[in-house]
Amino acid sequence: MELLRQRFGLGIAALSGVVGYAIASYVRSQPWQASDALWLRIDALSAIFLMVMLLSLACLTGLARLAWHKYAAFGTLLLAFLSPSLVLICLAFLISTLFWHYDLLKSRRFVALAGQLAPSLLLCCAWLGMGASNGVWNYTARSAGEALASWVFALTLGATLLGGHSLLRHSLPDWLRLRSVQAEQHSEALDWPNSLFGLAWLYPLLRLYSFGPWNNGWSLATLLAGCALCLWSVSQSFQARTTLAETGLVYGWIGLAIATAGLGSATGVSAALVALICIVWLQSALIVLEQHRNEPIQLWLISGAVPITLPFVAVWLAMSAALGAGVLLAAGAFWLLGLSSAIAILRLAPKRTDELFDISWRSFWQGSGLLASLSLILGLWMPGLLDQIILPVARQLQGGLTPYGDLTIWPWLGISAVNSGRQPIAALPSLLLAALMLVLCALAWLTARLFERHNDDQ
Amino acid sequence: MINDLLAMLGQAWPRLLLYPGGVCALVVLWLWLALHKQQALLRNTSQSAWLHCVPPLLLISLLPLRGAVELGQSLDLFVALCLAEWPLFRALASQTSLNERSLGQILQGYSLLIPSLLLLADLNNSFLLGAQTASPIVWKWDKLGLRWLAVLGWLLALFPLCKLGPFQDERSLSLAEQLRILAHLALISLPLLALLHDYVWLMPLVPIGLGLAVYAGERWLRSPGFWLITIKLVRGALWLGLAWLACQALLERAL
Repeated sequence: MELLRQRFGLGIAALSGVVGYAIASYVRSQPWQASDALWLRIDALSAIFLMVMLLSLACLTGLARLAWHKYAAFGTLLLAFLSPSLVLICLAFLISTLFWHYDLLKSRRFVALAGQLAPSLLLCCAWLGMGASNGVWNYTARSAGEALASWVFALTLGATLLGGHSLLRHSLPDWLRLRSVQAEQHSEALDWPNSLFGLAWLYPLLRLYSFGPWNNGWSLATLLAGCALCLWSVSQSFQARTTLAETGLVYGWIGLAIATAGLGSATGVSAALVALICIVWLQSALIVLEQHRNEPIQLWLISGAVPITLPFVAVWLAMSAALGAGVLLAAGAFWLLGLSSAIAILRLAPKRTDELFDISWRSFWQGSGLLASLSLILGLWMPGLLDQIILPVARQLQGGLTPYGDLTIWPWLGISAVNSGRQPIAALPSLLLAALMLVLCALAWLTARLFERHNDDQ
Repeated sequence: MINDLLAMLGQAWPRLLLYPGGVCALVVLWLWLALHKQQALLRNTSQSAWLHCVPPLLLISLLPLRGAVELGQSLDLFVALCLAEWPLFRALASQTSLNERSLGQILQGYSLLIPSLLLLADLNNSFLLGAQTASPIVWKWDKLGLRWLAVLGWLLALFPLCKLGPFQDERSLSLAEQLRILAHLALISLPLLALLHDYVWLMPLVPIGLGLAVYAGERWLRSPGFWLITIKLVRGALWLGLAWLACQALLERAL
């Protein structure tokens, strides 16, 4: 039964990946707007979020048993991405949070419920208040840029930070902690469905670029909040001695996504979206690792220490976004996060295997090998992925972005980051590296044979 | 795209086979091992262990050294460092339980390495390896000082990272780990040569510095306390330098 559910989840994940990719390619050149229904509109940003949330749902289905109201929560959330109407977006976030914490409602724990609803209420205050004061009810409206005031921005950023289940979680008393009843009953390890659901909260923040350009203060505030989250997670992961779930690694990655979104360049937005995809992958990898602790697992492939895997590419993108914007200290924070997340995964005991290709078929089908190869494939194909579905988001949000950092795809068979003067500042030739590594593997094997024969002769 | 790939492979083969990778790298590796009297490592390494030598070898092959075949672009420092560090992460992944001491040394090394690389990247306006070899036309004393500080930090970071000097332990290194040290040394030679190239009169400083280091070695090099204090001081200076540059950039953008 367990295996059947995992296979089912795998199937849904593949299906949702394909569907999301298809939608994203369809709206690549221009957004799709229903001709007779003005409340229905899909652009590249909505398409990516549809894909990410569908993938999260598939992971949750495959890895745990979910109650009906969790599915309902995801269903309503998807509606938020399909509409340009501010009222509909706020309502969808509010109702889906209600569904997600339905158990709190049923057990009449209203104080805890209010804590959970706080981000949605903040979002409603911000966006509906903006509508009421300026008459802007639609993010495609012409006067949307003028309506975007500092208080709207601050409330939206607050909603994102709270909704990402990050800030309040460790610093406030129990009744306010953003944890579901189920998680409280078990251990902190079971908190992960919330962190996947929390990914959706980056949508309102990134959507603000559709309204118009941000001012420098807003970018700085977002960057500071994101970097603080990164560094907090780094310190946690170096202190933790026992399990991975406690390290708050995923919260650091959410911090990375928020910080890069704050950089406000094409590279920054792409880095934030790749970080989202990486979080879904990383979270599933962590769960699979927890579930199969005693089997030989190729940890180094999952850790992101290898130059062409998904976590590595995500950190590389974030760092080149920070370099392009000239914020070197943020690049340092991202680098530390990448390093600590690699080391935290490598610290998982026990590790027995020392052979390069020692992945048993059983563990492969149970996820660890599959996740490792998925990370390799996504990392290798990242230039194509950026070109097809992620950079179109930056192109469609162009009006709100700054020119400090852009990406060019396929020079040297990989990705290259350029600064505002179109000068290359960082290069990741993923396909070339892979090809050269294959050639060098053959050479190394030949050399090893040569020395071996020499040994035998002696 | 396949055409591009094949063209690139065609361009890159002298680098992979002859110089700086291939034969040249193997000869240097042999000399390095001979220096440590460990030539037997070359013969005793199994085939699968040889495969772990591939990423550092690839890095050495792609370095923008003088006389090597032009490839058009270069890697950046982040990718280069990850290629060099592969054997380390492999060793970490296969140890039955991660040694707290070695973890502490890695963190100590990286806490110096990250700010010094970022400082260099900021001074050169680029993260690419090719930009680290070029020296700017106009030198100001503050930029020059920061550059030396960054290279010094990088050099210091190599001691805990590569387990040199007082950080040595009894565990013998594998072939891939020896190659990793070589890759690190090759990597740091890029900014060092760029610094010395324009200021040839600084050349005599190198033997003087080495002499001083040997003299200091008698007294301090073996005492961990001296290293800890030096590392802390340089780390503080590096972060201060970075913060100073960040403030300058912020003021420039604001005005």
